[in-house]
Amino acid sequence: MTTDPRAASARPLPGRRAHLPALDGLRGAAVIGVLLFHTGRLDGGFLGVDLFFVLSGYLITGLLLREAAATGRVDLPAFWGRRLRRLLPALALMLACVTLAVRAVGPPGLVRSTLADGPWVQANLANWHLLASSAGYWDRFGADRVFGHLWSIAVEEQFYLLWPLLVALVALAVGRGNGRGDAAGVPVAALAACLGAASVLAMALLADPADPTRAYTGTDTRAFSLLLGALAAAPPVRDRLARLVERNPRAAAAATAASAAAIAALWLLADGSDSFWLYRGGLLAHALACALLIGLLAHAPGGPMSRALACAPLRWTGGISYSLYLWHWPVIVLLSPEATGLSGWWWTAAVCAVSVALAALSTRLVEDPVRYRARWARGRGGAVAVAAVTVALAALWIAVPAPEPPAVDITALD
Amino acid sequence: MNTTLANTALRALTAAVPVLLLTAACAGAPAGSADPAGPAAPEPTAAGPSGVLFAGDSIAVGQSLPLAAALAQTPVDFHSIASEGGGNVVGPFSEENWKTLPGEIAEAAPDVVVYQITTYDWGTREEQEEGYRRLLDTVADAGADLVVVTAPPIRPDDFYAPHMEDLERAPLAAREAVREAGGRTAPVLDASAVWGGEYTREREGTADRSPDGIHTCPQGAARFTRWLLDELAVLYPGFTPPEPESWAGGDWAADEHFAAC
Repeated sequence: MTTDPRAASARPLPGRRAHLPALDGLRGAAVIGVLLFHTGRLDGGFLGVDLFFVLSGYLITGLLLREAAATGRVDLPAFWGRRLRRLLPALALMLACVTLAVRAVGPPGLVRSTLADGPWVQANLANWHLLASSAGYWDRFGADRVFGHLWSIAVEEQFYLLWPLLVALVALAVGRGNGRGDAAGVPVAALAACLGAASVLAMALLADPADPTRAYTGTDTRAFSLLLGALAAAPPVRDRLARLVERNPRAAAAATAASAAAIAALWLLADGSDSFWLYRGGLLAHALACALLIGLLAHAPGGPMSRALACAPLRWTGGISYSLYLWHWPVIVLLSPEATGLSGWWWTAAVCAVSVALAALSTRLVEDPVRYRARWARGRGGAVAVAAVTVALAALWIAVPAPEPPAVDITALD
Repeated sequence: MNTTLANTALRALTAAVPVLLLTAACAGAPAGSADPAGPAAPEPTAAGPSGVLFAGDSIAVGQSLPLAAALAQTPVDFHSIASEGGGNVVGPFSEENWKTLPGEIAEAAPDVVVYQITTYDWGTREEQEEGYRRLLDTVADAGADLVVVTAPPIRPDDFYAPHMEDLERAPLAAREAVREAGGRTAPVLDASAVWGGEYTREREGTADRSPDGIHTCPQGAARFTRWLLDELAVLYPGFTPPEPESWAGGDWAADEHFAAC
C-alpha cells in the first residue's frame, strides 16, 4: 500500500531525492482514516485509500524519472525486485497467519472465502476476483472476507507492473532520440494526463448507481488517482510547483492549506463509498487535492503543513502503514464485537491496538529487515526467495482443508 | 478450494462468452396450459423443453446452482442470468436491466424462461403489471414460454422494510398482467409450497434459509429445485426430472453463495 524511496534499493539510486517526513505523516493520516472507516467511526475514511494511491503514483514516478534522467533508462528488473522486497514479505506473512487463524477459529463460510480469495491475492488480482464474486453485494449481508480489503493492494501492484514499463519505453524512445534521459519528463506527464483522463472517463461510464463496486475497485477506474500522483511528480508539474513555492511562498502556503482543507472536508462529508457523487467527480476532486498537496509538500518541507504532518505520531504510524493496512481488516473481522463481547469505543480501541501491535511487529521483524538488511533478498537470492514464498503460499492454499459443504438431506426434499 | 475456484472461473467464463443452447425442440411452443396458480396457463405439452433460462435476483443465483446441477443430468440446456443486487424487471434500476435483458433472452434462445419475482420488484401495482407485461412480451417475442415463480418470503431488514407492501403485491400484479395478456401462456407458480408463508431459518433440524433473512441455504435451494422441476414436469410432460440422488449431493453446496449457512 505504501511506497518509500528509502527502501528502494540495496545500492543508491541515481539522483535520489531527500526523504520527506511529511509524506510519512500523510501515509499515517491515510491509514488512520481507513481504520476509522472500517471501525465505523469516520464514514469518509475510505478516502485514505485514494490518498495512498496518489502517494504511490507520486513516489514511484519520481523514482522512475530520476533514474531515467540519470541513466537514460529504467532498470525494470531492479525496480520490480525492489517492489517485491518491499511488499511481498509482509503480505506473505499476513496471508499465511490469517489463513491459519481463520481455519482454526473461523466459521466454515469464512474459511471457504479465505481459501478462495487467497490465491487471487497472491496473484495480485484480488480486485477482479472480488468483483467476479459480487463480494460488494454480499458485504451488505455481513459476509465479511478477511482479504476483502486487499483489492487496493491489487490495484497498486497492477500499476507497479504496467506503469514502469510505459515509463521505461518512453525513456528508451526519448533517450534514443536526443540522448537526454531527463527529456522523458514531458512525454511521461502527457502519458499520465491522457491515461488519467481515460480512467476518469471509464469511471463515469462504468459507475452504476445500483452498485458502484465495479467503478470503486476496478484498476481502470481508479488508475487516475495513481496517475495524478504521477503527473505531480513529472517535471512539467513538479517544476511549476517548485517555482510557486520559491517565488510566492504565501500563495503556495495558501494552496497547501486549501488542498488539505478540501481533503479534510471530503473525508467529513463522504457518507460511505456508495455515495454516487463520488463517481461524478468526487473521487477526482479528492485525488486532485491530494496530488496538489503532495506536490506542494515536497517543495516546502519546512512549511507549517509539512511540520504538522511530520509530527512523530503520524510519522511513526506512516512507518507501519503498509503492515497496518494489511492486518487491520482481518483483525476487525476475526475480533468482531460478537466474538469479543466488546462494543463502542472499547471495541474500536481493542481492534486498533491489536492491529497496531501486529503491524509494528511485522514492520520491525519482517518488513524492515528484508528492506534494509537482508543481503540474501537481493539478486539471485531474492529471486529464489520469491519463488520459495510463492510455492509455499500455493502449498498453503492446497494443504489447508476446506470445510465440508453443508449437507443436503435428500430425504427431506419433498 | 479447487471447487470454489473452478466455480468462480466458471461463472466468469459464463459471463464472458456467448451462450450456446440446443436448438428449440418444441418449436411452436406449448399451446395452452394447466396453471397451478394463474388464470392463463399452458396446456401440458408432450415435448420437454430443450432450453431453460432462469432469471431473478441474488436469491435466484443461489437456487440456480442446484438447478444447474440437476438439469445437467438431463438433455435440457440450462442457463442462469440471475443477478446479485438486481435482475428485476420493475423497480429500482430496472431500466438498466431492460437494456440487456432482451438481448440475453434472445441470445440464450430458450424454450422456457423462469422468472422468480425479485426482492427489488418495487413499485405501484400499475408499475409492476407494466413490468411483467413487458417481460411477457419480450419472452414471447423470443419464441419462449414464461413461467413466473413467486419469491421466498423474507425477513425484512431496514433496506427492505419500506417495500414489503410492494413485494407482497407483486404476485397479484404478475397474475393480473398474465390475465390481461389474453391467451398468452404464462403460469405464475406459487412457491409457498416450498417456503411456507414466512421466512423460516430451519426445517426438520436443517438450515433451510440463510441467517441473513433473505437468501437460501443448500437445503432450501435443493427443495426449491425439486419442486420447480416437478412443476415443469407437470407443464411439460415430456420432461422427466432427474432423481435427487443424482444431483443433490454435488459440489454446488460448497459454493460461496451459501457461506453464511
